[in-house]
Amino acid sequence: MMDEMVRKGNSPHDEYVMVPLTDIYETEDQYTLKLEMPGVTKDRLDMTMENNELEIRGKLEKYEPEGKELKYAEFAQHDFYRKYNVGNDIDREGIKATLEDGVLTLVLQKLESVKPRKISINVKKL
Amino acid sequence: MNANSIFDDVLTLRDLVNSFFDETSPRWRNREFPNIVVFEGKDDIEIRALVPGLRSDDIDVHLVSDSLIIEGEKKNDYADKPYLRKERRFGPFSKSVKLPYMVDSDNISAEMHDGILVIRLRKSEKAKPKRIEIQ
Repeated sequence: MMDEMVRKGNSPHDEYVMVPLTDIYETEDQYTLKLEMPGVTKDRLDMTMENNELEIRGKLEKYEPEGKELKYAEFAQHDFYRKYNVGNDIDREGIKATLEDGVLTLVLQKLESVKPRKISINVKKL
Repeated sequence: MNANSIFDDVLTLRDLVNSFFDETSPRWRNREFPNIVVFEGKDDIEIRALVPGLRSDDIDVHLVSDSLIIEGEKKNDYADKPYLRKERRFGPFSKSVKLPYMVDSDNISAEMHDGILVIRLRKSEKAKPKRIEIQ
């Protein structure tokens, strides 16, 4: 699991990062992303959208309790980082983000032009 | 860029391989949840577990002799929608952590914040070194 979570190279800087496990859901008019970033608080979360790239970074405050030694670890204390390529069908201005219990939820609205449209057909009786 | 190609990296060979193994071994997958770190002091232990998306109602922590058991269920928060990518894991879990020394069962505290569970335990008086008087 650690191998999967800690990855080097995805980040713009040459550093080790944790890759947040992510679910992506699609509905008719939006995409929802749920990223697991335990330990990240609102003030330590950075999101930028530039040139079709959505960058998400959650900074972790390194925890080192005084008078205690780290004896066993199944995860490393790196920042969370993930980058997504976003298509032109997304409304850049309408991205909503909420952070709760270490899970970041992003809701991306689809642009009107790409939503499925209903075409009504008039049938004339002969 | 093609307008339909949001999340270009949605499906890769790696995903296909991973999903194959993930679906075949649900028990193995849950054994390692949650991931923990253990800090040890002279008379106290602090265990931190990554539990994103869980509330205190979803987790039980109890002590069985010299092991700490963390168990509960991670409930799916979006089950009914079609997904493009699924990496998060849900379901029941149970994890046992062997403690380095006997702890005081009346002196255990657990708290949760921002998806991290913090458990603090104190060394039992019985486990502390005792001076033996020479008659």
